[in-house]
Amino acid sequence: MKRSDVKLLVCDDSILARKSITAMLNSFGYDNVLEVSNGEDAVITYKKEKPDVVFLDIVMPVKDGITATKEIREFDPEAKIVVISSVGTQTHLREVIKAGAKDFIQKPVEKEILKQILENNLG
Amino acid sequence: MKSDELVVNILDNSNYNDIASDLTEFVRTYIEKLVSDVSLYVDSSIVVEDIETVDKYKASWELSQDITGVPSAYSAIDGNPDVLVAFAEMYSKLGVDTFDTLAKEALLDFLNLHNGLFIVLLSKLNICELSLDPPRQNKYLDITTEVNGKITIIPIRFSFGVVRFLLYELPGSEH
Repeated sequence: MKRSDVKLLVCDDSILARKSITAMLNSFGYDNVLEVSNGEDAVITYKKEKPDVVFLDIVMPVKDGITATKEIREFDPEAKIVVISSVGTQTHLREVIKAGAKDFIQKPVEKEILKQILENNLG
Repeated sequence: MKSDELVVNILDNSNYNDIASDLTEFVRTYIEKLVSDVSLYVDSSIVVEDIETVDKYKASWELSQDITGVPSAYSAIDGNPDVLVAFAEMYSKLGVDTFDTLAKEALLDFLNLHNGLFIVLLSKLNICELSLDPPRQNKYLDITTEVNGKITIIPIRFSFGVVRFLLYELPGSEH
């Protein structure tokens, strides 16, 4: 798949986090990056846009990332979801895996880890 | 200098060691992790001014986040607007120059990052498993404790001024 054909979705309530993650993705050559600020909008946007990979925070208003992961996976069992969060506790990691996320990235995000996980998910 | 040594040096030059025995393990761990995270992600040239505990705290705005579980706690960040703007810019490097939405977002982003790393540390140490509520901002901050002297104020001095971090371990939620 050409990078220009890849569609990505970044969901985080922090403007800083969205800007930072999107800037990293752009620097890897992926320019088609959608941004939303809560889990509810992530589910709606996923159903409408069917992005190739979703990057979701956990702690968000309206709907948290774990609930959003479950709902996206119910809609599309093949959805590729990477959770990016500062709260990588043992409990949260178990919940993230149970919800169906493919990977977890601990904040602050390291560029090389993001690139590697993105490319693994794009296969 | 290694991060751990830096934290010890910074705290050795404050009143931390004098008051540590009066603080819970939760609060002590929070302070040590806070100094470590500020040094790592904002500025390592900092001085921790006298840490104190108070019964009440008021501010003209609220930038806070709840830590949930057992124990649970209220955390916040406060200071003079010009100082908070400088802190926000130093952390985010996004050209923050006024105390506006972007500045507050940057301050809350740091608080969320630090609180997240703090609860990850507690989890790794098998002390407890906690969670976070989303950070919030309101117009006023006015908290009064149910138990005397429970709000810990951690004032950190930077070259541009002092930022105050607040931690209130909620009564009845001790681990």
